[in-house]
Amino acid sequence: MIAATQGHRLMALLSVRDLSVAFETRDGLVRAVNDVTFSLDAGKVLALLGESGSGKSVTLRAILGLHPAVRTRVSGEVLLKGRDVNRLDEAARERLRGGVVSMVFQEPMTALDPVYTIGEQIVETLVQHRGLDRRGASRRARELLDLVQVPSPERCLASYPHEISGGMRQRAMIAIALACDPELLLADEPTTALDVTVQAQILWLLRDLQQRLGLAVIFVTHDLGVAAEIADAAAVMYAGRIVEQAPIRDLFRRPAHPYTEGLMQATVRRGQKGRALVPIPGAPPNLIALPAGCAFAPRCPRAYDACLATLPSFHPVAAGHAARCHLVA
Amino acid sequence: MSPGNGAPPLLEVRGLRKHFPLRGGVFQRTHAWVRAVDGVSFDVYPTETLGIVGESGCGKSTLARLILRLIEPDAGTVRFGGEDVRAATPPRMKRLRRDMQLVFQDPYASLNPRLTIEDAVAFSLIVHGTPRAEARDRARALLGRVGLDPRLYGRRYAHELSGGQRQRVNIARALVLDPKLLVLDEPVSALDKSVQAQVLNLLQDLKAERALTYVFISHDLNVIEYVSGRVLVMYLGEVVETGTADALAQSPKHPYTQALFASAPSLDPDHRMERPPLAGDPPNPIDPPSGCRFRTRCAFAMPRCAQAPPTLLAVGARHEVACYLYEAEATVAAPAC
Repeated sequence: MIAATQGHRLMALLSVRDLSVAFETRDGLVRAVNDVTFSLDAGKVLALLGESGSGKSVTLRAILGLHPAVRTRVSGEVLLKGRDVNRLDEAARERLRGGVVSMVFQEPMTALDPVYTIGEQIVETLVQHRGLDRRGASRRARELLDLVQVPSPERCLASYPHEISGGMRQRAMIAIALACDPELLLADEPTTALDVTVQAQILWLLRDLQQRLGLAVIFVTHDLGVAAEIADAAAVMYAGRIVEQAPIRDLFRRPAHPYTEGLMQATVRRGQKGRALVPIPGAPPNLIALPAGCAFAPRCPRAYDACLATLPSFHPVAAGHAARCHLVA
Repeated sequence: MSPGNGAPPLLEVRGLRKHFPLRGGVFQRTHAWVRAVDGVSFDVYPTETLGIVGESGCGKSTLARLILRLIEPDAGTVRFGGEDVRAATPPRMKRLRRDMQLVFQDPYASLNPRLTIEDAVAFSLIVHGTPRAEARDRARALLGRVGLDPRLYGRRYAHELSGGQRQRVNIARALVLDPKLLVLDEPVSALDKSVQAQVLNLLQDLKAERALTYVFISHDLNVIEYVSGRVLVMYLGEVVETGTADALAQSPKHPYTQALFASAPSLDPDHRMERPPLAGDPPNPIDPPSGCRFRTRCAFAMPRCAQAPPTLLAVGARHEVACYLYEAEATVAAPAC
């Protein structure tokens, strides 16, 4: 499933090795993603969990090669079906996008084009990427809306994005993402902007589609609850690094990294009334001046000298479960 | 709603209504009305926390603004400490505003970027006639209390702070006039989980220290259950259920409240959601369904639900629900409101 430190296996659909992304800004070099390594097999769901600024969305965009070359430094390998995304020319990357990998964004209102109907946008995708004629593409567009369970597909096809509800827009965006039968779906907080009753529907839909179509999914989220609903495994990110990787049940039962543990304790759950919450003190570090040791050490209740001095490497906790923490060693 | 410990309510809201006109065309004619808040009544007793929960478009933020008279209602009354807020003259209103303060969701948009945070907190004291030097001292003391060392942070600007720190500034600013009531509109929704817990703990501590009364608005049911004594569940501008946080968590009555609880992720990979509890999105508040506004998404909808809206009926001690399913078991003795 997820190979943490053991290196990537040959047959993985996606294999990311030592991925680093840094942005040049006026204030200095922002080290958004640092030496991220993970792999994902076909048909599996990985949650990239983290708070704002942890590097989860930047990682996701790097998989598609979406970061503009200007003032961005990308290093490391992103092997998608054995081919390094960072070494392909733009034309070859364009073929990967849509056909092999596609993306669903948090805000469907900004990701969809406001001046075209939903139908036109799906048809356009099919004509461009699949070379279908307009009639064939229209028929397929209708099928796709059925697939994402839009109740009245004809009306949705004829609607502009602003004319339909947030949940419907998100379904339409998923339909576009699925238009070219991708093997890997990258989902960037696709339910965060939605109401909780609608979030439940979209999560359920994504899980259903994932299983029926055998999709591999990377699901970026800040929400532990969402990860618990959808993922087979999770990678927890902090200050641009993966600090823990585990099968999802292991992560919830035996969080090994103090940050993961802190996050679980800080999350308000049902039936917690009357008990004080246990927050993580302090705030995440500045990505321009990352500390030498473990980036979480200044907030960690169990940090000792070594944590401040040297960066911990991954230590195995159980099968497929590893944490970047000196305490685990 | 039934009284708490015999003390009169601090805040009484009766039949509050606000419809916003939608204008269009060359003559800016009103062609539709957004029925944001429609006949909402409730009481808030001293030192309690009333949670208001609902999805986008349910009118919870409009309600917050109506309580503080930041916008004028179309109908209904708001009484604060027995005084009719709508009838207050401008000088009287200024006095009332000291006692009722609002904390907004977006901690950045609600801070003046040109003021240091010390000045931002001192500002309302100065407006209310406190000498500058004293205002600054009190502002600095309060910044210290909310966890921002004034020597380190006092002279900084909002953009130099993190989201959690900004929300602490907003809380300090709301408290500087020693209010009795704090209306908190999604105060932790924009914050990361680890920071959210810090701010929630701070709010709970401040409430106990200063005997504050909170109206706490959130879309997050877990947060609402955690902070509130009583909860008001809103759907499309109306109250559908109200009761103690415990009663609602243990036996939610209204099909909408039930769905809201069932939709929240379980945080347990072994207990995943079997099916989504509700289909469809909340309807547009511009043209809400007739009768019970929830009926279009309700699994138990009957023909009569479309005919007339159900009124709030008592189904237990301090527990009321607006749903025809509970007519039979409604307790007759308990008066509404």
